Amino acid sequence: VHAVREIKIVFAGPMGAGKTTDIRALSDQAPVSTEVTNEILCKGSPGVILLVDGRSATALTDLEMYLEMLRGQCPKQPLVIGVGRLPVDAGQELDRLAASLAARDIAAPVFGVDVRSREDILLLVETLLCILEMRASESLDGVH
Amino acid sequence: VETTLYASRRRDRRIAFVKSPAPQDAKVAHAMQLLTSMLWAFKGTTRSAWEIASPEEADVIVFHADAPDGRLPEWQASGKLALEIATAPQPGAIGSRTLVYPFRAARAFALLEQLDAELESAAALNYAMSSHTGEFKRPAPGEESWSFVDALRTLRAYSGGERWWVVYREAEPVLWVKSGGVVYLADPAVVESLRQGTLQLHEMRMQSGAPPANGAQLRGGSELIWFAAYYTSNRLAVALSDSARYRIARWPNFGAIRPPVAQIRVVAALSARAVDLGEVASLARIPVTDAARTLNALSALGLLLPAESDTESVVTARAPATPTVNALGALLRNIRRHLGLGA
Repeated sequence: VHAVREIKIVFAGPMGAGKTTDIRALSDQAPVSTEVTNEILCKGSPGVILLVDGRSATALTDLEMYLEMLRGQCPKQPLVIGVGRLPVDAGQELDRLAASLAARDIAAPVFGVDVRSREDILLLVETLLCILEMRASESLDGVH
Repeated sequence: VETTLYASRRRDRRIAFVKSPAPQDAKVAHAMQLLTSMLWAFKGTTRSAWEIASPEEADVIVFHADAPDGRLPEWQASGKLALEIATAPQPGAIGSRTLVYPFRAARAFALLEQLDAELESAAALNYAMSSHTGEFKRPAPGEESWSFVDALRTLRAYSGGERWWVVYREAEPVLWVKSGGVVYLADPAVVESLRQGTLQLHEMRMQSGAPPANGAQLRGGSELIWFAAYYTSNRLAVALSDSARYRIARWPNFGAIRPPVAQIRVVAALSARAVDLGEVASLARIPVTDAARTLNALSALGLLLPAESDTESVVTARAPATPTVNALGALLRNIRRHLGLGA
């Protein structure tokens, strides 16, 4: 994503979760596929959007694996989680994923999204920006 | 004594076996017969007493997955539960009310107990909703009516069931909420007026009924209660206080709600630390009235928690911020402009 300056937002998630689709929905340029290590990926990024395929039998395992990885590589960056391909009444599935986060003391947003929808991907980005903004306000306010 | 008490709590449940008019293979007949035999074998062991009855009288309708009866949606809308018998492996995940032939007695027994619990929950919901059906309270000038939000809260407090609750404006059905409040149906114009705050919910009435036949798209129930609560009042609801500090239990599923950015900012502020109404309005850069509305919406979803002590907010506020974010303010504004997001 390019603005006046540059900011790197990491889209993480298992194969088929919709990362390339998401970036294509937002980017001015076609996505370039490459492989880098997680360490390089997270370096300099203020936040991460994690995508999980909600219909996958391994959704919870995938989420837990990526949470472990992100906790190691970018422990302080805020995280927003998009769960794709869930039915509209999938509150229980989202609750299950949120419970997995809570067990790790992570208070990240978990949203059911359509990864093909630009509006939904912008919602994830907007939420990440709002969290960053609040953190920035906290820092400017100093200790209360 | 325990036996007597248990027996006194036993209910009569009625179950109907619906034979499809279409020709069926022998497996279907065997599957239905197997369940009938099991019902006899289970007598006296299940929590409730199960009797075979007609579909009109039944609490549970048993049907074959490949040839469901056309009256099934109508029966389900009236509160009857459907039990599906399948005679071939299911392509997707097996439904929670499905028996795949040949099935074990233990599976059938567990399913009957599950259906019994669901019927009990539905009866409790019907009782709880009895005070919310009919006309909603019309507010006096200067007052607000929380009747509709309270009715939705009650629906969401009970899980499951196939019953629908219809919200009427005069004699016209406007929207349909499923038991459990997890989903609702409405046409796009009604959804838009709900989201804009122009739907006069306090002028409506609610009662149980059938879902619309036109196959409108299901929407997340959290959207309905969020915007209903948001537009009910620009002051905090009576259960909340201007001076108390709040935080969120967890984020709402904004994928279903799709709120404007100002409301996302409020929730982001409440996720960062415990704050009071004035502080959250200041952090989110919105009027206090808009912040109060968002707190009301969070509260209606059961996601707003009072801070346990003053210490909690101080400790959270002292959590280390990401070192790079201090310089982010202008950059975030540029990104928003670039992506066409709200200011």
